[in-house]
Amino acid sequence: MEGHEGCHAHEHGKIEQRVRLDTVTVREHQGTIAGSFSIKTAGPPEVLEEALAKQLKGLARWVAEKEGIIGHIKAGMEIPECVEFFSITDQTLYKKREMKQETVIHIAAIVFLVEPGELKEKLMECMQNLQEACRTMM
Amino acid sequence: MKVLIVSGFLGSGKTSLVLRLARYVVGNSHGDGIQVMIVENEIGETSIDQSFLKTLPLQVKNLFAGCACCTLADEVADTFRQIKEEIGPQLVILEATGVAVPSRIRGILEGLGIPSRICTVVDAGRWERIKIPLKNILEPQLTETDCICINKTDCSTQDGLEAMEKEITALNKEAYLSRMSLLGNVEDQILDRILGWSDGRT
Repeated sequence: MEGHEGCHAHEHGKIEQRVRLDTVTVREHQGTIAGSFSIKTAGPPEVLEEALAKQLKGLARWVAEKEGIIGHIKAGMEIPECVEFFSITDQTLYKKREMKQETVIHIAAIVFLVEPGELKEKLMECMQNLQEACRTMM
Repeated sequence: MKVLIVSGFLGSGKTSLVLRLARYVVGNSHGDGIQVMIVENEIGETSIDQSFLKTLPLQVKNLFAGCACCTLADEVADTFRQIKEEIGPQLVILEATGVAVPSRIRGILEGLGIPSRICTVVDAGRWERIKIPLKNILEPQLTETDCICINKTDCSTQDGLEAMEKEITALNKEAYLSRMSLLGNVEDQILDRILGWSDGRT
């Protein structure tokens, strides 16, 4: 089967998604730069969402500053089950939420006209910022 | 088993169209008893859409970290051979990567004796911005396709859409061309044409 020019230089793909936590991966395919990472974190989903939105907007701004083209920048949050506890001993109702597992955040960016190494560095920065934001909310 | 290859650049709305078509086929009277399967291909190692798609009551198979038209060509052949022999759905919707050349995927499927149809989605909002720098990716997606859906019409103007249609028609006069905004309603007639239900090609 004839491949895209340059494809022979790349590792052939795998059938299943490989989620490697805390690792930024970047691959190049005929001028297409695809980078991604996944992290696991505790914390309320609504606060994580805010931190995630900030990083995504920052990443989009960075690509524009580099005069690159965004193919897409997508993120997903796998929010696990949680249990909410309510208690009252006098007149005040208390609510406590316990996450059964940690939330997994995935970010994937596919861009053009940007250096792969620079995208990797930027994604590492995003990952560290997210991890830092998660630490401070705990 | 027939395959609909949904092609189109990144962010054009392929996943939205795939979901719309799958729901339409399953829910429509035309589709009584039709078993639909989705095959998702991502160039990167992480698919965000996969996390979403797996929450839906549809059979989804994934091909990650490569492109179905080249680096994953062998895996595509193996996957479709396996789907045909072990599951045998009437329709498989394959969402290609945003940089895939769909006619190459059709070639792989032809080698397996599986008929296919190609639908290419184009983003009206970004056409002007990407049509020149990404011409080498967009042109093969537009020239070798059975239908072209101009999506996100709400992100362009009437003049912009007309100019875009002219440019696309210059590349491919034969393909069925439609406008849509997948945020809203899409006429059944258009979905029928994409699926090839109205011209007997699928």
